[in-house]
Amino acid sequence: MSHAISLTPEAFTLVKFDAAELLAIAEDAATAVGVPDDVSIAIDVDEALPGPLIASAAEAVPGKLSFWFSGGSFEDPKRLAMLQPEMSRTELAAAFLRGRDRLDGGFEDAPPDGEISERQRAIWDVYAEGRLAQQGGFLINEPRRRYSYRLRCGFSDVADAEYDRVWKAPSLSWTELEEIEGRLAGADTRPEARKPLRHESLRPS
Amino acid sequence: MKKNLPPSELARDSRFVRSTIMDAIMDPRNQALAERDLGSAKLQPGRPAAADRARNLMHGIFTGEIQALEGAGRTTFDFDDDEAPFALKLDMARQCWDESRHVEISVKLGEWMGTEIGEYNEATFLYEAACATDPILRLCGVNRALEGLAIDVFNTMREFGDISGDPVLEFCEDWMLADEVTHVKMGSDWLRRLTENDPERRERALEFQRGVDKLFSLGGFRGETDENPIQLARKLRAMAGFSTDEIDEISEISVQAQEDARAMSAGASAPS
Repeated sequence: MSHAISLTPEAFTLVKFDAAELLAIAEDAATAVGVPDDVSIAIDVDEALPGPLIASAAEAVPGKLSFWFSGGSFEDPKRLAMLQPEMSRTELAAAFLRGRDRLDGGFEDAPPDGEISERQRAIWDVYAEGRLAQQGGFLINEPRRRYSYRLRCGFSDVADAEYDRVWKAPSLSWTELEEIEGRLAGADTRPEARKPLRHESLRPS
Repeated sequence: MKKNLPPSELARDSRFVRSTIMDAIMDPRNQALAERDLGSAKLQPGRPAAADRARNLMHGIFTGEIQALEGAGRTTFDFDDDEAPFALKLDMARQCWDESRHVEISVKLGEWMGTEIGEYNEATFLYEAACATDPILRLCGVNRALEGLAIDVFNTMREFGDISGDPVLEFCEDWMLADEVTHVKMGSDWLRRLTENDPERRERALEFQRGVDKLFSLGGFRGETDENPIQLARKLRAMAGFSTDEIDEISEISVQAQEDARAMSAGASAPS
């Protein structure tokens, strides 16, 4: 199988990433998570954003998935400006799953990534990475995902129980995700100002 | 056992990878980032990538604690009693015990936040401040500059835990913060006692500390504006014995460090 994948920039100048290597990793990840061959993939990497600024966005229209990533999403935390292949494969695969969700996986009605709340995004990220963990073959740091989720959804037993359910969920829809968010919001005892709202994005508008 | 161990000989296993402070300052991405408006750089839970930024900082705290342990430990051994009083070495031994606990707490906090030992690279500039051959310079570098930075970092992380509702992070940082205040006071007390009749030595020590404080400002990492991820903890520094003038000076040094880093980064990016 092979996909039509485009990468922007075609050559990296601020980081020492090999564009061809990243494209090959993307192809491997797309195949692994079952992106249909007839769906093209566009990847835009903002190489100026270093680790630990890890961020991504996914858009979908029929026949095409488009992704934006911070350069930090693919950067080796141990080696400045160098590509970390295994971590990159996981980041790409998780984003591709979210793209597939938007295409025909029950998230067709989800607002664009720039408009969903941090809490919604955190739940969706757990759903995506949980599926990769169940599938196997990916570098997964489950405690990292759990901490990111707790930061957005609360440090509570209710939040942890929802996390465990979503992590193992074989399927989920945007409507169900909104219901989960509602339960989490109801259980979040943090002062209103501390609850996650939509904050500024790393992605240039 | 060897005295005055250089940073290159610090014991680390294969999980650790070294970086230098210059690598970070000369990174060509700095200039590109400086030209963007990414909003406040403060480490706050609501900011983008807050979890990964906090994990990264927590790992930096962990390696910093190892180096603080190594620095205090070397001071108990590197000097004869006529160079450093036995009571000073006792203080350093007590500090070693504190730093050991901090290392263990930091490892546990790393696990809590999903960070593995050695996940991020390690810069050894903290230990390098503990390599001065005059014990008073070393105390100024470690106990007043390094531990002063620790006060700023721990206070920022404690607030991060408080705002995010993370009881584990807030509690642990608060405990470690209390120790750091004591360590700074130790440094300040020994500086006064050992240089009571030697103003020139005291000035050399304070000048050394200014240099270390500038280095530890890391080109804008610490300061008092929205551009600084780590905020200068004025109240806690005052509790540790820093005068208002000294805190103002550190603030000014931080601004200079940020301007220097911008100039260096711009120079590195300019076409030759």
